[in-house]
Amino acid sequence: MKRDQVEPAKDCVVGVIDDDPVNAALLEAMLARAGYTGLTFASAADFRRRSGPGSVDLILLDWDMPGESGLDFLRLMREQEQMTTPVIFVTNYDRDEQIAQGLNAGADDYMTKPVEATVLMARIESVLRRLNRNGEIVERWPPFEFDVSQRSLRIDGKSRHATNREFELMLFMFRRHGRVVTRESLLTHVWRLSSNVATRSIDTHISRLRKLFGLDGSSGWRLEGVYQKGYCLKRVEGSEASPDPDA
Amino acid sequence: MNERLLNREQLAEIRALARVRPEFPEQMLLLFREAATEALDGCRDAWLEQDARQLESFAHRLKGTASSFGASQLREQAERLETDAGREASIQRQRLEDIEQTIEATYRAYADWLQRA
Repeated sequence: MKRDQVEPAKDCVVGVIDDDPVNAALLEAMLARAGYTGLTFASAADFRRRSGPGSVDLILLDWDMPGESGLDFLRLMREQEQMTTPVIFVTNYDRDEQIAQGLNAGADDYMTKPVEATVLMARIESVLRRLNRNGEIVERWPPFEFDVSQRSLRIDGKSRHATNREFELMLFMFRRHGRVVTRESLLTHVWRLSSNVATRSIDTHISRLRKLFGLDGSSGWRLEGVYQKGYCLKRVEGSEASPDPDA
Repeated sequence: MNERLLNREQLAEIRALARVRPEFPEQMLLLFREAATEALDGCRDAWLEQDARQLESFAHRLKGTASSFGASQLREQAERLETDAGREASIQRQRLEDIEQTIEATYRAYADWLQRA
């Protein structure tokens, strides 16, 4: 990637957990240039409150933060909360034993500040590639299972046909369940179009998903319209679906 | 431009990122001043309370901010403060004064660079 080049949007949300606003702003701008959607959080608690592991595809994590350190956050998420979201440490700690400690706690990679944009993007892509190769390709939100490499869908263990667009749209919404997703965001990441295109096509697809795949609540999930904003996929309270592994 | 204060390569990166976000270079200046001042205040409080651990922690934070901003001299000074957090108070006082001056000088150098850009 060239420094002056702005990459097309990618379907990948990267969380930046860093209490240093200068570094967080720098990382977010670098991510935006590379086509990623960056979400910044001032602390681990802020991340838990506003987002959660299931809503980002990868985390750039600072180590030294007030309250819960990045290391403690990572250990807890890996050991107790079974979080599989890939994590790259981006920190000032540069001693060998610290790097080893970070990786042993469950980080997928480790970088010291200041980061160079091309190296950061290469590391992110490398981690995402490795994740796909290692078989973490089936994403589950019971009763839905998305095999990302095969582009196949199973509901309650049974294969279901979905067009490429339906698959992409559902996967995008499930990865962001509980959050409002704007039509502009869907156009950019699923349709790969600019936001000045008519949004009727999205509404039509959403209606189809509700009927064909039980996203009207009958599957335990409801795809709701949010007035003047977009859509939100929610778990139906009291549904019999298995607990969400990411929640 | 004084290269000891600001790293030329980092400035080029900030300028390049302005193509994605035109407001970014100015935003960085404001964020730098706020974050660096806050970390320096934390260092001062820790020094007054003779709390070496807190002093080390705030110096570490300042080092990170300086590093991300490309403020080379400030980074070096913050690193020295972090490393020597347990040393005698008179040395730390001098270092804190030096850091305060460097933050101001870095801020002015960056603001000048912004105006020329």
